[in-house]
Amino acid sequence: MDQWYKIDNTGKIFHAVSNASNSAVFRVSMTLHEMVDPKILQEALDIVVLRFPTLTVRVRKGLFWDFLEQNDQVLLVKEETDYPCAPIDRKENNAFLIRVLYFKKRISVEVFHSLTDGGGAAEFLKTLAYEYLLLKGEPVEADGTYIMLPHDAPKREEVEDSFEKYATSRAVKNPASSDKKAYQLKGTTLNPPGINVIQGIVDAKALNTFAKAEGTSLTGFLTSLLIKVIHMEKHREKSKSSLITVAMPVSLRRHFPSVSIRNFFSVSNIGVRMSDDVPLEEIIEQVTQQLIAKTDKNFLQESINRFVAFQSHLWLRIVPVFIKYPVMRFAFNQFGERAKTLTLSNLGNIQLPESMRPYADSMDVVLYPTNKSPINCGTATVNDKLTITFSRSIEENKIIKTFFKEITRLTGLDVTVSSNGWGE
Amino acid sequence: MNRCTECEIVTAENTCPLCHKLLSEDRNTEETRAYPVYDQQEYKMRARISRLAIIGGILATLICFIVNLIVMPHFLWVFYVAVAVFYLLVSLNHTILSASHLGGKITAQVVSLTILLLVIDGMSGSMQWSVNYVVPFVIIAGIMLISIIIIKVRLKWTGYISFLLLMIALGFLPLILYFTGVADVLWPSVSAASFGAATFIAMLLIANQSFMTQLGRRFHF
Repeated sequence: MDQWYKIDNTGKIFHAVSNASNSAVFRVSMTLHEMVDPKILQEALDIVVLRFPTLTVRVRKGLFWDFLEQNDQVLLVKEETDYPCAPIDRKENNAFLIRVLYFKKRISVEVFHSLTDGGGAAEFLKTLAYEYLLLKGEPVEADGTYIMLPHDAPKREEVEDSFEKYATSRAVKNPASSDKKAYQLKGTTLNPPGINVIQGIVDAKALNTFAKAEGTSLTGFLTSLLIKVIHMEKHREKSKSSLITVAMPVSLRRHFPSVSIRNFFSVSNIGVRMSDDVPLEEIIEQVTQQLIAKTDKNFLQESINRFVAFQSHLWLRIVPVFIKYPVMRFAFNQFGERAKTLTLSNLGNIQLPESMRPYADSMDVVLYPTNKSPINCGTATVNDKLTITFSRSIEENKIIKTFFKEITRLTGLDVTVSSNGWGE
Repeated sequence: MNRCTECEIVTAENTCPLCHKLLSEDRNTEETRAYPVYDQQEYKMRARISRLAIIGGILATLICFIVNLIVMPHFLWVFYVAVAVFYLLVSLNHTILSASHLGGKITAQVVSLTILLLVIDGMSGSMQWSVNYVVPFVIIAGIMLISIIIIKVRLKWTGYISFLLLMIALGFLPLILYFTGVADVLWPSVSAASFGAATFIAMLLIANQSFMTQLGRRFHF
């Protein structure tokens, strides 16, 4: 009960803006080659929770900011029965903001975004799977590949707010983003409201080779194709706005030497002004240039400074939460969300210890949709299997359908698709 | 694996996950299922109850408004209905159906009940019975209820602190109403404020260190 944490810089925003239609809960899963044993998974979880103190917390109400307090209850593994990224019912979940689920061969970790980002959740899942396999008697060992070993003591730098640590200035004059309004997806809300998930698995190595041949990275290719496909579908709707922007969370750990498992990412908006005669090659070129520029260390440093400067404002700090949160929610919906068409979050090629790799079939990440961004996309690669996961809160799935069709048409690769069938 | 020629994908499922075309009839659907079967009817029902209550409340108020205008336009009794509907909606959607914290439910009840009583009093000729007597005692009841819960739950008491502090702050509202001339009987207002202050002091004395720690956390900025 003694340990408590301020919600980190990015986490405060998720905490303020989450509601029934924006759960701010995302999922990272690992699918094994054999059925998950829930008893052993619970044993593994009981050990791993001690390694990740900032993830096993409950939220407490404060006057100026809410905060996180150590939760001494037991975090129980549960069989998956709900749709992915459903809002976390704190009462049913012993007040934890994280849940660990299993379904057949899959272990899923769903986390409220105020606690951590995709990178932090992936580390938790890797450690959980490692301990699970160990307890099952499998000969896994950490062979030099970075994994947070379950029995190590948590380090101070793992629980730090890296935004505060790496900010070089708190005096940014214009803290607001200058990104322009982008085309926004619209559709009929699913009945019942919830999240429909469609996953496509594709050969990562082959797709990466194809992307390289096109002069871009895997992320660059997927982003370009998404922009192209959205334009194709938008064209059918005869919509006027033509700037299609993909918001891309960028892990700052790659550029700043942070080992924090709390939120430490920035969002780069990659936008292309589309017209009918923009070929895919030109989209790829523009996207690649922007990706290079917007993942540059100096650009990211500015973004860290902007975040910290914004939340250091005295007026923002001294306003009580019951006024601040509705204002933040309004600003997020009106200004933050209008600059993007959808979010594409790429966890990248997740590194597992060599001895763990034979046990993992695939990994995936599911993002939560929001009102202004009703379709989002998360990708993750493990063992050369790229899983592309679309999550949507609307009935319309033409973009997803065309996206997978275009991958097959352009690359000749098979895409293996599955869905949770929610709302259908 | 089945192949959908329309969507150009392969799938282990027997219908295409994208266009729902039947691809195979002889597969075991349970074995190939990537996600659980959901009871979507239950979700629909839950969403419907909440929505129906809101629509029903608005509709009832509108009908009463029309009847009021036709039958008794000089006295707008529809406000009694509107505020009662508001209170019932808060009670149904927050107190009964939501998974909110018990402390939050008690606070919401005290606030919505206060609004209900103020409107009824105001509508019935501003006799000031609400601000003079009922509101201070509703607040005292709220503080007392949360205090009893804190004593009962012992180890989990910190979860109720924010709500207790909020209720204690509310305890001073009747006194403000008295000094601004809205209320004209002093002793219930003083009772509410004193009860709030006494509860705060009691918390300081009983749980000194932990209470101070909690105050530090609750007021960090």
